[in-house]
Amino acid sequence: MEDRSDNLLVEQAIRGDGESFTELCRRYYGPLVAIGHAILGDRHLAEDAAQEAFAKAAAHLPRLRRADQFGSWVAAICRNEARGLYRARRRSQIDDQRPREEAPAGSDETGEAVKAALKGLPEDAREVVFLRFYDGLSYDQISAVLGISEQAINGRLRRAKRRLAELLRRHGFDEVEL
Amino acid sequence: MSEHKGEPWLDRQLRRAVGGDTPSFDAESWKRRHRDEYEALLARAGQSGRGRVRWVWGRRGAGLAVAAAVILAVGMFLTNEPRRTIPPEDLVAASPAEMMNMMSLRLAYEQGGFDGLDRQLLSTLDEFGPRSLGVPSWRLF
Repeated sequence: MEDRSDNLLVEQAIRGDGESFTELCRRYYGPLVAIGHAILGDRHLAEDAAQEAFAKAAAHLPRLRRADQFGSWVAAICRNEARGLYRARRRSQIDDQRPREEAPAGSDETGEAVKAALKGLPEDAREVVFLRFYDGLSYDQISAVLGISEQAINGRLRRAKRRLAELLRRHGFDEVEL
Repeated sequence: MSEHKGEPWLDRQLRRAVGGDTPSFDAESWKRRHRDEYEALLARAGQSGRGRVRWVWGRRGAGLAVAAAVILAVGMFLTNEPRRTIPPEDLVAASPAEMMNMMSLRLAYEQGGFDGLDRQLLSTLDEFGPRSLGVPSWRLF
């Protein structure tokens, strides 16, 4: 199964092959959760957004015009789902009622400052940081999801890191230099 | 001595802040939760080739091939079309002289605008002075 290319899986899924579609979901679940997490700041909601995105993709797969754009297509659906969830959460103020996500073990002042700085990034910059560091995706994999060149990803990531360093310096980390 | 906080330091901090355990997709749970969408996908297995035609049509290569075929067909049609002949009653010029005059006037206009037209009119008048003996005067005008 792993040997089958995304294009082949997409073509088989369009013809109604459920196993091919679930294989595509397995391949893209991590990146989609990373995208959702970058927008929502919540792992559980990010997983919901990713699963809803797959449901919409299953329903509208024949609309996909190019099999090689499945990654960026489903990522765009996920982004919309996550933004919708974010708006709904803000409206209903669930944020305050929902228990905050547990900080990873070893979290400290630096970790909190980095998280705060991440929130200060523009969405596209935060997204590429999450894709790169959430699941250790390669530039090639990120390119498949964002639909932009590896060079563009590198540029976006470098700008994001420079901005993060700047934000950290403002938070008192004077010695951060990039 | 404090650690140098360069790019490797920031990368480590980002991995700590962003990274977690790799999310794994639970296909069975997803299928149960989104039964309608999944069944809609499976239902396409029994459909006719219409979906496939639409899929092929939607691909860029197929679109280009169709566009190329249309251009080729139009080109062949235009090159093979028999030359249109104007029926005699539709002739816009009543005599050879008038016809020649119109053709030369049109060429003169295309090449030199109204100045060219003027020059051609003068030249035509000069040329039409002596006529061929074999051509009766009524054929000229």
